[in-house]
Amino acid sequence: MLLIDCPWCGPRDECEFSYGGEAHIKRPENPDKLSDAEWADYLFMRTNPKGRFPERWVHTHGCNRWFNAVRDTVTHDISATYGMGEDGPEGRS
Amino acid sequence: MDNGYMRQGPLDYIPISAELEADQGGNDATVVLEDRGFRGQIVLQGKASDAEFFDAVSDITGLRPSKETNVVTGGPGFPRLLWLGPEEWLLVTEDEESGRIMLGLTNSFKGRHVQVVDNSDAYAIVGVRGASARDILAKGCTLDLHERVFRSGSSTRTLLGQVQVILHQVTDDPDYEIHVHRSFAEFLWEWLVDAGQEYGLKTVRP
Repeated sequence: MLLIDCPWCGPRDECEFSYGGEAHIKRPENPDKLSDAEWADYLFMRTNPKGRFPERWVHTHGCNRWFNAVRDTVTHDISATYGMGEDGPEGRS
Repeated sequence: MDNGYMRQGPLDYIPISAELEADQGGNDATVVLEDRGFRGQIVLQGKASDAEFFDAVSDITGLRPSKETNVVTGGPGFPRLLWLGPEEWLLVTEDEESGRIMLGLTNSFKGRHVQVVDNSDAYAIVGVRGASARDILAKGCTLDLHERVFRSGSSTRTLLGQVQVILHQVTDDPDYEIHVHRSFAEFLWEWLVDAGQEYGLKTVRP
C-alpha cells in the first residue's frame, strides 16, 4: 500500500485516493483547427514512461481535492506532490 | 425539520440483543456505541481567500472556519464547525437550531460564490466512547489515531470499515462521533458491534 502525501491533509493511505491519469495535459487552444490525428492525440495518447511520471490524483475519501504527484512507475516511489496548476519538479512535460 | 411526524432515523430499527445493551448512561462498559440521533449538518464551501465569507460565518454561528488541517472550531457543545478540506466545512448544530442557522446563512450568501447545503438527514451520527474506542476504530481506519496526531478537536473525512465517514474526536475520553451516509449506517453499526466484541462493547438505544 502506498502512503501518499496529500498537499492538504498530509500522508494518507492509498485507499483514500483515486487516480486521474497523466498530469499537465493542456487542452488545445483551437480544437476546430486540429486534424483528427492531432485531436485523437490530445484525447487518447498518453506517455508511458518507465521511471518518474507526473500524474493526477484526487483525495476522494479525504479533502476531495485534486493534486499532482510524481510517481516512479517502476518503484512506486512518490517523490513529490503539488497543487493543480503548479509546476512540478520536472516542470510541465 | 420541525415536523417530527413520520420522521425516522436510519438506526431506529436496528435490532439490538439484550446482552449488548448497556445500563442507562452506558457507564458499565469500556466502550459504548450509541446513536446520537438528529442534528443539523450543514456543509459550507467558500474560497479560502474570501475574508467576507469567514466574517459572515463567524457572525451567524459564532465560529470562525479553521484554515488549519483537521481542526474543529467549537465543541464539545454546539454549534461545531468541522474542517473537511481547505475550502469545505461541516457545521453541526442542535437539531432545532439548524433551520434558523440555515436561513441566516442562505440569506447572507445570496448572490455570492458560496455553497451552503443542508445535509442533516443525509447522515447518521454514531458515537463511540470509552477506553477502547480508539482500538476499535483502528481496526478499520488507516489514520494514525494516536493523541499526538488526532486528538479532541480533530476532524477529517476518511474510510472506516471501507465506508466513507466524517470522523470527529469530541473529547479526550476519548469520545468519537462518526458521521456516515444514512444508507451505510446499519452496515457501519454492525461492523462496529463486531469489531467491539472482544472489548466488551455495549450499545445504547437512542
